Amino acid sequence: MTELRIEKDTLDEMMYQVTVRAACIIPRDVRRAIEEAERLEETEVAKGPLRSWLDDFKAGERGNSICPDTGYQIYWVKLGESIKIEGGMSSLYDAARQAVARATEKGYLRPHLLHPITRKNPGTNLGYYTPTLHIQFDPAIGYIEIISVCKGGGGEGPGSYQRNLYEGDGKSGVIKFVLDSFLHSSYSGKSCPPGIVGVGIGGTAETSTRLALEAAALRPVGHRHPDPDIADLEEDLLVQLNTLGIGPMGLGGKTSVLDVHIEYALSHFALLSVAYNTFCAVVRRATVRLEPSGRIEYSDVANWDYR
Amino acid sequence: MDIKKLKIPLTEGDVRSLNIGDLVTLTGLIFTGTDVFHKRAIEENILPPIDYTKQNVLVHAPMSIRRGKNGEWEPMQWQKLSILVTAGSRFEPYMPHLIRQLGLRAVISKSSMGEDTKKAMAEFGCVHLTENSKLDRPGTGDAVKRVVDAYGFDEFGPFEATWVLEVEDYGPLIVDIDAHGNNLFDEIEQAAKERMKKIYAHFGIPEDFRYSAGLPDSKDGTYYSR
Repeated sequence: MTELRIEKDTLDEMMYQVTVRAACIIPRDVRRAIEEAERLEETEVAKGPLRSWLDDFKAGERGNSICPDTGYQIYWVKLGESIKIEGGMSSLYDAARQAVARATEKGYLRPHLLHPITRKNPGTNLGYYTPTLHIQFDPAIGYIEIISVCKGGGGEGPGSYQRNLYEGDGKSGVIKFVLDSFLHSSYSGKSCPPGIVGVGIGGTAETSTRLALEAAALRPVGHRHPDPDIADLEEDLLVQLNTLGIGPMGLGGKTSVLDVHIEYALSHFALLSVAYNTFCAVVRRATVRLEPSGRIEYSDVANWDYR
Repeated sequence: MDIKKLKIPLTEGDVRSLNIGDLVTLTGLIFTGTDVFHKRAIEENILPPIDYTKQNVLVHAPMSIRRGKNGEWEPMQWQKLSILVTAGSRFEPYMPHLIRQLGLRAVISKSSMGEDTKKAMAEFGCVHLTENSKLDRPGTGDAVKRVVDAYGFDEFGPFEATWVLEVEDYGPLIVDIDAHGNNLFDEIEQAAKERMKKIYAHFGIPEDFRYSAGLPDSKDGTYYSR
């Protein structure tokens, strides 16, 4: 494959733009799902949060972050072996850091990430392990794609759990964990329902946790897992959770989740790791891709499938 | 549904007339408090010098406000000042005492408060309000008319400072804990728990399902208790 050279300035600008877009532009699949929910709900109280989100989405197009809580910045970078970045691959980390610092200074990101013990706030959203980058090399592709996600505190704090079950807990144990996690996290609208529920099954605690996050953050509403058993379980959980009556912001109603996405890895025969992750109703993901032709394209579809 | 327009300071009569599910808007002076406000108030007995008889509405909200070039307050994050409430349940240990000490008539946060706060609210005459719609959001709101005072800005930054803000028609907010011992979210949760029994059955999860030995806090068959 022909070598694709990327100048540092180009990379910096792509990373900055995709960070701002994640904070300000609602993905089309999520907007459609919120619009659909607004039509489906029957009471003014249930429609209320949905309508104010739809207004916020318009404000986002005018350069406001669509939720004041811009959360944690997480990047997934996928690139081919033919990509050559000025300054080497570590330029990706520099690019992410300057993007977050710039977007924070410009007011697109709330400067709220601080030292967990001293609570000292650097004011830049930068620090140890922050922002987070996941990098994947794919020899079959000739482009570089950067996915940017703002993971808000509502879905993350009260809406994310992990447990290592034992194999004997079985399918019942996994499903009960998901159902109980939903009920617990959505009480009084803590996790900002209706959002996308991501479930990771199998692997180590780290694997299941990451798969749950990626299922919630990266897969569009309405997309199903290729394994038909898993796809059926996703559909089934989606329908059942929406009968609970939790509704938008937990105020009661028909829409409690926008979708359920499950990912799995192989499990140790004695164990059964399961993780649950909520993306709040205001799902924030944006993608930029630099094609071998030099064309730069922004979108809201994350292309992170590496099963 | 009718929206009740209330003026701050709220009277005991104002809040006793409210029931869960009612929608209200507020006009007058509110003050904000987050982690630092609560810890200092209860653990160090330090309170911002506010006349709490006139300002009896506490909002759990980190404010995105900074000092402009000429020393004036300006929005940090959007093109205008907006209130985003934060989860109030983490202030539950402080709330019952603060309600009585300051004479609060309304507390506003995201989500809800716990049993002790509910009891204190019924005793003293106070309500908990949460977001419904058209709140003071980046897209829609224009409820904040001006910043009246800021306490602790230089020491603790904008999110932990206590802001006194003049608001007009702030809301609609929904009453989720009234002054009669009712909690809207508990009623919704009770109904959901009843429905959940059918969902367990749908997935073939036995009623007496228990997780394997060796796992903590699974005595009631779930991992969760509040």
